[in-house]
Amino acid sequence: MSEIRKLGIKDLQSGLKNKEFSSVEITQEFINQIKQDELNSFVLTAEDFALEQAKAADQKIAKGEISALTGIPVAFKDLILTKGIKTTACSKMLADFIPPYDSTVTKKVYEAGGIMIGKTNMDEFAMGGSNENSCFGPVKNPWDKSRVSGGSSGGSAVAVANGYSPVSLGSDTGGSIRQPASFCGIYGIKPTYGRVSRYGIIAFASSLDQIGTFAKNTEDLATMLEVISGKDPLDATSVDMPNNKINLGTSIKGLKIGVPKEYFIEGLDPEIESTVKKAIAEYEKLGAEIVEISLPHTEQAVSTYYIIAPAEASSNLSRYDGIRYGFRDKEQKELKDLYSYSRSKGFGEEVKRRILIGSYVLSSGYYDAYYLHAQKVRTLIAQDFKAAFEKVDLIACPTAPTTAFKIGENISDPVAMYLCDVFTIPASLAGLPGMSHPCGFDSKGLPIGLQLLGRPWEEEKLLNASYAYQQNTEWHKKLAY
Amino acid sequence: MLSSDEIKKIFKLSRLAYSDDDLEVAKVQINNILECIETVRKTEVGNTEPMSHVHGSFNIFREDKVIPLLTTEEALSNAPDRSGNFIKVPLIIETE
Repeated sequence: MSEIRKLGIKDLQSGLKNKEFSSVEITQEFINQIKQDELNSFVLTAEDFALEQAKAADQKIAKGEISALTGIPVAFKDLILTKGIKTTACSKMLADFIPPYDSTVTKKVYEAGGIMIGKTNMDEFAMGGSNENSCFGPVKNPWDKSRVSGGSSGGSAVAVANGYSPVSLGSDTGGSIRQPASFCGIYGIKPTYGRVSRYGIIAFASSLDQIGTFAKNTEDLATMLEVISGKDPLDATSVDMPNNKINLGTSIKGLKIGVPKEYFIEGLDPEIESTVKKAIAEYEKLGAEIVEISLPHTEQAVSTYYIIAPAEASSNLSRYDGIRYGFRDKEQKELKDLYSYSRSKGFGEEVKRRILIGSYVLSSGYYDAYYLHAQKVRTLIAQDFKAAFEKVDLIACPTAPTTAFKIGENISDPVAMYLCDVFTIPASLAGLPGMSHPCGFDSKGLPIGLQLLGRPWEEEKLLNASYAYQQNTEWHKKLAY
Repeated sequence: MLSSDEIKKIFKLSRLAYSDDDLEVAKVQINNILECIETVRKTEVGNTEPMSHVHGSFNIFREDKVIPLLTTEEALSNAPDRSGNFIKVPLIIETE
């Protein structure tokens, strides 16, 4: 059974079909691995629930009723609501919150036969790039335990990177899937904004949040994306786009890949620069045409994001007032104090910081100068991409400017932490699909990710390119365990 | 550069209680962050329209139909304090 944790969806399902093992057996094996986890990647193991689901899956398999994820364990980021199973957003504010309903993605995974194996650690309310802002403590990187996993979906990245679950669900607002995928040496995709329903996801910044997925290989990313995509009447921002089967294996000959010059700047680790350029050369060898492009407003993206995201967060998080659900400071005798002390004691430092910034940029007298102006710059950033995609089919660049940094290294400097997302934020602001795939290691033995960005709704193009690269390289075979 | 009084006002707007220490730390960090986001304010935008939604969706309507979602019991299941089908809160009218 020790080989089980190395397998992806396809191999696990063929083993299930051929009766080499049952879903109960593999689920138990993954749960046993989670129990020995020293990286703090899970905050809840749903052992009984998962084994019940696995039993039901085995009965279906026996009858030959096999769907996309039948019998396959999936780890869920702890901001995805699971009915009857605690969901905390890794905040003291929601430490005891038991959702009375399932999110749409939860339902979709269950309908496809997936097993909810546990809830993964994350930065509180998804605010952070290192998973150090969790009330459950930081997640450690499987390649070097003294380093961060990346964030905010650090637990979901490590769950896959260290073999605790074949695939996992995360969320990406400014890079929270792509960056930890890069830090942990695995595959992660943030779909086009509106591709996946946000119903039942604990909100951070509603115009940016998007649910996505982590996997050990491109094929599994594609399978997961097919499962979770689709218009949902319960999320007005989800979009009715055809959810066709994703085809992989098409030749990338003649595919035009743009390389933005603004992404190869001072501050980019030279080892990452050379590794990413080597990967781009590999794409060229496979027949792609490499074109230098320019995205002139790249430099403004981080600042724009750190106005828009906190503004939306301050509004979204106003619902946590200690009244209907969430933490209440019961010592307070007056309503006004109950609001402010429940919030002050329930939220962690980074969350409070973002609420303060958000309230400021939305406040009377500053709204036009900050928030409205940032929304206009957001348009310019989106227009840069639109112009670039008239010339190229895809964009390739580094996912992050550094490899995984030391735990504690950036924690006292919020601005330094924010700059970690410099390459993932622009596509988030433009609502574009983006993914990270492994493309090498630095001299410290830490993984490096290549980011691919595409036009809205063209996830298939990203995945097909990633698959072509994967077929011709060995990086996906390097495991941390 | 925001003053301590301005930072206090933001805490109040945010409905967050604070200590003197909180205020001092926030003053430094918020001013640093505001300095970092200053580049946005300096960006020339001309007549560019603001973007609040990436696909330009506007007023998405649906039929006003009642569908069963949560029962009263489910909706109240996470209330910090309740009395029957009500959520209990402290005194709402201020005493002074």
